[in-house]
Amino acid sequence: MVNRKGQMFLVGALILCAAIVGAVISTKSVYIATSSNFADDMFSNMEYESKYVVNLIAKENATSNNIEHRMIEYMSFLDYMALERNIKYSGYLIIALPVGNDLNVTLINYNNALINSAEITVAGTTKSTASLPHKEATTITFEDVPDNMFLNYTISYYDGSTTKTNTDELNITRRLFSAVKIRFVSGDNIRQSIFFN
Amino acid sequence: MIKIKKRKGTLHTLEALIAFSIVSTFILFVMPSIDISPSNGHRTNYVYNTLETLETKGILRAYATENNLTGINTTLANLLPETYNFAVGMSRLNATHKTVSGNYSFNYTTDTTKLDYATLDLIFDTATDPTIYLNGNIIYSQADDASGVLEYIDLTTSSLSGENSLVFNFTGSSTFDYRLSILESEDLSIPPSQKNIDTINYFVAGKGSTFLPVNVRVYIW
Repeated sequence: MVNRKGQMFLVGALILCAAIVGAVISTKSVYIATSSNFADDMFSNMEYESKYVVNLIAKENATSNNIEHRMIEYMSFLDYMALERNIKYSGYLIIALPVGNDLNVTLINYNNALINSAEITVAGTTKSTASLPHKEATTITFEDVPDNMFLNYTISYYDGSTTKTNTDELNITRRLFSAVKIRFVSGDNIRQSIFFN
Repeated sequence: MIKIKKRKGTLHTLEALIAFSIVSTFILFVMPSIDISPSNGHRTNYVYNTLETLETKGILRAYATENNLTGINTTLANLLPETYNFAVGMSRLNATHKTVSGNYSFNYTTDTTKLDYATLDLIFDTATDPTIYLNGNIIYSQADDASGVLEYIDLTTSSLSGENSLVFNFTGSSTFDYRLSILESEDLSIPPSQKNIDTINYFVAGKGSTFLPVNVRVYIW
């Protein structure tokens, strides 16, 4: 019979290692893994709060100048916080503020890209703005608007590879109104939504 | 015959040493790197949902805008399971903006131990030879007409703890807008320096008519 003592040492060593692993694993509790989707949570949080902040700013001081400044401050804050979690945040807002019989429509660009052109039509009157850089805002005034109206917007920007155009038609009343676009890029995941308040 | 026995003995010894090396290497190097700790996913979802519930009741927003980290900590301690280890922190944005005519000066306060950023955005409507001083040092100047110019100045590294003085000087008449944003962060307690700490964020933009963006952070491990 061939003496196989040495091979038994090696086999024994491997069995001992496997036994150690098994003993360690069995002492740990097992949880049903639930994926932590912090980016989704952050996105829905920002979505909800973006509606709240427009109303808050109007309560603080209902002027288009205040809206422009506060929204850029706010989006810069969100941008910084999102970057801490390796999320790239961008977006733009259209905020309509009634001033007497007029309607001030403010466009705030936080798109990390130049808005090449923006065309806004309120109650059949079209006004446009060209070349709005990132982190800037502009306000267009529409005089003597009716209580109920259609607001159309067309925003065109270059996202680094192609020119994107967002367009929509909304039936609104002469009140504080916002159309918000938010975009998150987290690794390979992209989330975006356009919502109205 | 004796020579054959010696060789066999040597081989057995060698094989025993190899076996010992395998086990020792495994115990010393492989075992410590195996992390079999449970997934934090269910805990982060639980904490986020708790923060969301507190926000819908107005509790989180009140604590955040009042800078009450202790209140947040105590509330979470009562709501989260005892097996959850956690710490809380907060980032608050203090932002001011104004439209100004002529030469102008104002002070702002920072705590550099908490400072994330301090930035100044300028929109010159009409301006000639603008010069800006921070604590007596020139941080921006432009000769001749600067009307229509937009500038961004990072004050983070130049700001001092306590009061800082900003002075805007022009030649002739001027009108400009400025936006000063100061973000400061603090943690109620520092989480232990170990891997597998998850961070849950919850933002509020302010309360009522007070613009005060806050990011509440909960660290769990």
